[in-house]
Amino acid sequence: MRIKNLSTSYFTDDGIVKAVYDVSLDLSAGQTIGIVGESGCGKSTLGKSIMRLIRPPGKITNGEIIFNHQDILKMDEKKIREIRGGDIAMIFQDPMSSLNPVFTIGSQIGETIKLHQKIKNKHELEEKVVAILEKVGISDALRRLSEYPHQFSGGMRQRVMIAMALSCNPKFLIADEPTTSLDVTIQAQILDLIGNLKKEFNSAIMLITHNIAVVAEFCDYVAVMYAGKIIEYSNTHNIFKNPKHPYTRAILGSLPRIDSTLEELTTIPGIVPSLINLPAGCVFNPRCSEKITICSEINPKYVEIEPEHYTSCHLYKEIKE
Amino acid sequence: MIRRFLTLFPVLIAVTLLVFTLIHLAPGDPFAYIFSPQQGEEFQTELKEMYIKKWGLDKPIWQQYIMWLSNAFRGDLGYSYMTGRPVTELVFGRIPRTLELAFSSLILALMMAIPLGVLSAVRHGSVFDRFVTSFSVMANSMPSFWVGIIMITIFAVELRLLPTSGAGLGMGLLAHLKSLVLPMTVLGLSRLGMLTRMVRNSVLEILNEDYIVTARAKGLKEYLVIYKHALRNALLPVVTLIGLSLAFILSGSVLIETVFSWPGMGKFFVLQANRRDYTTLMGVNLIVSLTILAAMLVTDITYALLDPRIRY
Amino acid sequence: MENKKGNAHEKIIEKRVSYYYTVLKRFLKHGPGMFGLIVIMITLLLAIFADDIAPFDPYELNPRNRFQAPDRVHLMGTDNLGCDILSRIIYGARYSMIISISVVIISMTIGVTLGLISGYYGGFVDEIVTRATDAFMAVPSFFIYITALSMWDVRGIWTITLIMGIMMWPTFAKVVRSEVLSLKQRPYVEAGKSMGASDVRLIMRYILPNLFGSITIISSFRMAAAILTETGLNFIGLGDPTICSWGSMITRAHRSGAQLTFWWATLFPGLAITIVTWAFNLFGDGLRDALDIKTVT
Repeated sequence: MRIKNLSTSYFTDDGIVKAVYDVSLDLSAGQTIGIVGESGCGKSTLGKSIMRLIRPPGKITNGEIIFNHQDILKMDEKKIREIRGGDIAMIFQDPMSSLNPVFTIGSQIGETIKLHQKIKNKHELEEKVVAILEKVGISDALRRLSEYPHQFSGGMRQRVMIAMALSCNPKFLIADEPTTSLDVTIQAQILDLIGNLKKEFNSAIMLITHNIAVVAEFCDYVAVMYAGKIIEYSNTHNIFKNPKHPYTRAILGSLPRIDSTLEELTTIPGIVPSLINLPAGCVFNPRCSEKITICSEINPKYVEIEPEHYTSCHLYKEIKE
Repeated sequence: MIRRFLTLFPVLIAVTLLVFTLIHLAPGDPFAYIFSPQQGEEFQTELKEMYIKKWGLDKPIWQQYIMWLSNAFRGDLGYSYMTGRPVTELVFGRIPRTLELAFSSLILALMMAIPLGVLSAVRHGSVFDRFVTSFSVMANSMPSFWVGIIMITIFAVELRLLPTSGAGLGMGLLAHLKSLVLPMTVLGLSRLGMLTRMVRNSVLEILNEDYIVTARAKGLKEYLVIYKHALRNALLPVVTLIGLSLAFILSGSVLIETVFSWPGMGKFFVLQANRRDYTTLMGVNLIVSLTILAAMLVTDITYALLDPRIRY
Repeated sequence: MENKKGNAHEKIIEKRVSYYYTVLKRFLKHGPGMFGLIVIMITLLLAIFADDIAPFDPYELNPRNRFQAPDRVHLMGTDNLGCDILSRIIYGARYSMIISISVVIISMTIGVTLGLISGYYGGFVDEIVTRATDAFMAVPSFFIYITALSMWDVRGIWTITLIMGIMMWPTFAKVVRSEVLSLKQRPYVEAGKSMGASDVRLIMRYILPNLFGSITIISSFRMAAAILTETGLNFIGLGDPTICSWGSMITRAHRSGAQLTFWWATLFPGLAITIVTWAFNLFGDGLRDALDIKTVT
C-alpha cells in the first residue's frame, strides 16, 4: 500500500478542520506500522480515509492511495465495497458500540463472509463462522453463535470484532485503538492475538494508538502524528533510540522509565492547537523548546534525513542522494 | 412482566375513581333530562323516588362506588338510565366499529410515517427533509374535525367519490370500506406528524452510532446499512409510542365519529353524555381505558420481545 | 477579600447574561421559531384589543346580511345568522387565548410542583406521582372532558378551563421530574447541601431556575394542544354557547348545510385554529433548538 499526500478535511459551520494533512506512507505485506499521537491529531481520520469511510461534512480533499496497483480514491462505489471487509478490514475502538446490539454475533460475522466469499449454503457459512471464532480464542463457539453482543465481556467482544475483520483474510488490517477500552491484562492478550494472526495470514497491519508503549512492542515502523501531519517516521528502533523531532523526543521524555533516574517527568507546555486555526509555520512551533526563527514562518517539508528515517522539522537536513 | 400486568389494576381503578368523582361532584341534576316538562310534578317525584331506590342513589357515595366496582368486576356494568338496556350490550355492540376505525388509522399513519421518517433522516438537511418536517408540524396543528368537514365537502359532496357518513347495518363489504376511507385518513393524519417526527429523530440518532460505521466498513451496500442495521434499532423506541398514539387516536375518534356519523362508541358516548346517562358513561370510560391500557401492555411486551438486550 | 467576592459575583451574572444572549441570538436566527413568535404576538394583540379592532359586533344578528361572501365590507363574509365572521374570529382569539393561557397556568402549576417534589424526594411519593402520571396519560382525555362537562350545569369558560387544567399536567410533571433527577446529582447542588441549605431553598434557588427553559417549551406545546382541545369541545357543543369560539363557529357553519357554497364560514375559523396552533408548535420548536434541549419531545 502506498499513501501519497493524503489530505482529509471536515467542512463545518465553524470552519474547515484539516484533520489529515499531506500524509504519505508505504506499507508492505507482513509489516506493522504504528500511528501514534494524542487524541484529536487525526489518526482515526487517517484510518477511516483509507477505507473511504469519511462522510459529509468530511471529505478527502487530496492524494492517492495505491493498493494492488489501483488508486482507492478513484474507485467506484462497487469496487470499494468489495474491498471493504474483504481485502482491507478495520477494527474499532469500542467493541460494545461497534457491534449491532440487535443481531447475533453469528449473523454479523456471517454477513461479512456471505458478502465477500459469496457462500450461500447455511451450513457452510456456520462452519466458517465457528472456525474463525475458535481461531480468535472464543471457546464453545457453536453455542455462542446465537448470542448477542451484550452477553460478551469487553475482551471477548473485541475478539469478535477481530474475527469479523479477519474472516475474509484481509491483506491489510487497520486497528483503531483496539485495546484502549480494555483492561491491561486483556490488552496484552488481544495484541498477542493480532500478532499471531498477522503471522498466519501475512497481512499488513496499521495500529492506531495513543499508547507509545504498545507500539514499541508490536510494530515494525512508527509514524508520529501531530495536528494532522506526520512529523516523524522511521522503524521502531530508530524512533526510540534516535528520535529526531522535538515532539517525539518530548513524548518519549514524558514516559516513566524504570531504568532512568530522572526526578520529574517532562511535560510539553501548551495545548494542542485547534485544527481549524493552525499556527503559522510548523504546527508544533508554539510549544517547541528547540525552535528557531524560521519555524514560525515556514512549514517544514517532510523529508528523509537518514536512511528510512523521515521527519518534518527545520532542524534537520534532507540527505542528498 | 407480571409486575407490569399488576400495575394495570391500580391504574384502572384510579381512572374509574376519577370518572366517578367527576360525575358525582358535578353540580348537575341527574334527573334533568330524564323527564319531559309535560309529565306532572307528582308523577315526576314518584318516579324519582323509585329510581333513587332502584339505582341506590340514596346510599352514600363511596358505597355506590364500591357497588359499581364490584359489579363491574363481575362483568355487570349496570343498565343505561335512558334506554334501560344493559350497558355491556350497548358498549360492546359499538366497540368493533371504533376499534376498526382506530386501528386502521394507526396502521395507515405508521405505514406513511416510517418511510417518510427514514427518508428524511437519511436525507438530513435536504429540501425533502425540511418539507417533511414542516408538513409534520402543520399536520399536528390542524383540528381533526375541521379537516374531516373539509374532506367530506370535497370528496363526498363535490366529487361524490365517497359516502358522507359511516357504516350502516347490512352494508356490503365494499360500501363499508368506502365509508371507512375518509374517517380513517383524517384520524391517521392527526397522528402522522408526530409519528413521522419520532421515526426521523430515532433514525437520525441511530445513524450516528458506531455500529453503522462498522456495517459500512464491512462493505455492505448503503441500503442494507440503513434498512437492515439502522432501522431495526431505530424502530424499537417507536414501538413504545404506538401505545400512546392509540390513546390519542381513541380520544380523537370521538370527534371524528361525530363528524362522519360513524356508529362507534365515541358518537354514542357524546349522545349519552348529553343525556347524563351515568352508568353508560362509567361503562364506556372503563372499557376505553381498559383498551388503552391493554394496548400499552401489549406494546411493552412486544418491545421486550424485540430487544435482545432485555430478553437475555 | 471584599473585592474578590464582588468580582466573582459579577462574573457569574455576566456569564448568565451572555448565555441568554447567545440563546436569544440563536433563536432570532431560527426562521420558523420567529414566525411562530410573531403570529403569537399578533394573536395576543387581537385578543387584547378586540373591542377596538373588530369592525362589527360579533353577536350582531343581521338576517338580511346572511351568507354574504367575503367582500369589502365583510372581509371574511357573514355566517348563516348574519354575523360578521372577521369580528367573530377576532373575538374568538380572545376566547381561545384566555382559556389556553389559563389552562397552561393551572396545569403548569400542578405539573411542575408534582415533578419537583417527586423528582427531588424520590421514594414513595415518587412512586405515587409516577403512577398518577401514567394513569392520566393512559386515560382517553376527550372521554373524560365530555363526561365532566356534560355533568356540570354551568357552561362557562371556567368549567372548561378547570377540567382541562386538571387533565393536562402529566407532560409537565414527567419532563420536570426527569430533569430534576439529573440536576439533583450536579456538584453545585451537593455543594449547596453541604452549606446547609434547606430542601426548599435548594429546589427553588438551585434547581428550578434551570428548568425555566424546558417549562417554557412545554408550555408552548401545551398551548397548542389546549387550543385544539378547546375548539374540539366547543365544536361538540360542550362549551359556553353564548361565546363565539372558533370551534363553535365551525359547528354553526356545519349545521347550516351548504358547505361548499358557504365555504368561508368553515374555512376561516379552521385556518385561524391551524395557524395559531402551528405558531405555538413552531415557537416551541424554535426555543428547543435555541436552547439545545433534547429531553422535550
